[in-house]
Amino acid sequence: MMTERNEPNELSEAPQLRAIPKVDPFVVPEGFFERFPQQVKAEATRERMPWALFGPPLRLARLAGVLTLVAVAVLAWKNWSTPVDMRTAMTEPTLETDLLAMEELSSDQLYSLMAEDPAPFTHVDPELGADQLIAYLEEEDLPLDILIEEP
Amino acid sequence: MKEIPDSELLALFRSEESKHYAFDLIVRQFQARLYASIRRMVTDHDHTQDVLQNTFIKAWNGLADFRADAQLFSWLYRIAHNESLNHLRRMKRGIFVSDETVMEQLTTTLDNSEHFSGDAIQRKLQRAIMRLPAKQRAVFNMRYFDALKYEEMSSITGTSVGALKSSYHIAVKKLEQWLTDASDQTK
Repeated sequence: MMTERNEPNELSEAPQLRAIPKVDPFVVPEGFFERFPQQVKAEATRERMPWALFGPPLRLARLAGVLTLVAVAVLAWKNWSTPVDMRTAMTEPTLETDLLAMEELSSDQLYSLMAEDPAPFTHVDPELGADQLIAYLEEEDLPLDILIEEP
Repeated sequence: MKEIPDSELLALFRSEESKHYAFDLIVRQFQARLYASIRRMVTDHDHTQDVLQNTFIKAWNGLADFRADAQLFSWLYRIAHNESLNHLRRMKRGIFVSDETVMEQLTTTLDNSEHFSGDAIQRKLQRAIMRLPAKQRAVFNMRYFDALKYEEMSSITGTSVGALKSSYHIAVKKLEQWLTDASDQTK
């Protein structure tokens, strides 16, 4: 359908273009237009799969899935990229400050704290003899003076 | 093949018994013109086949609502035009590439295609047309090759006649310049 319906003055300033013959250089493979109508009719009338009925919701579900994956990946990356020391510091944020604070306490305050929280001593067998107790403290690398009671 | 009037095709399509027959006639009547217009946009035969198939599938789904006051060919051409632009957009999105890279791909397809019969001057023209932005290329093809009226082009593209005339004028100027440059280089 390549007719010369262009107004003549439209190409008046384009001598190069005007000189080129107006032909369609694209070749259609042989027999294509004989086969195509059947092919397209088969495709158009093919029964739609049940999930095709849920086109937009399925697309939303897919989007939600992708967003979840991205969120998981970001969290994993953040966790992975945090240095190990930092992670320890984050999980035990009070250990060092607690120890520093304990240095400031008087013995009375320290003992009262321990009385409130007897947990560190609960695993020591109260039936132990003095030698066994000393051996235990040495084994645990604990200072012996914690056995000395204040007068 | 004798052209069947739109009214006849639509009447056949609206009847359940002759719907498939009518669709077959519609495809046969318009496939060659639509193929040519799509092929000029996407270059590759296989891609053209995909776009043409999508065009007719959309037509099958929408023909029941088609308003008879419009021309069937213009309506189909509009679907084909939109599908061609969508295809080019997908090419860009799929591989995160620029317009220039898509243009290079189209040109490479053109150079390597066994389904291109043009001589050197036709190849030069097609290579120049590929350099135009997609929408401007479509406007140029509609006017230059398909000889559509600006009013028809306006209803297909949804762009005003004035804007289309301006776009075509600019496209012609660019092509003339590129063809001149290419001729100078070969001298």
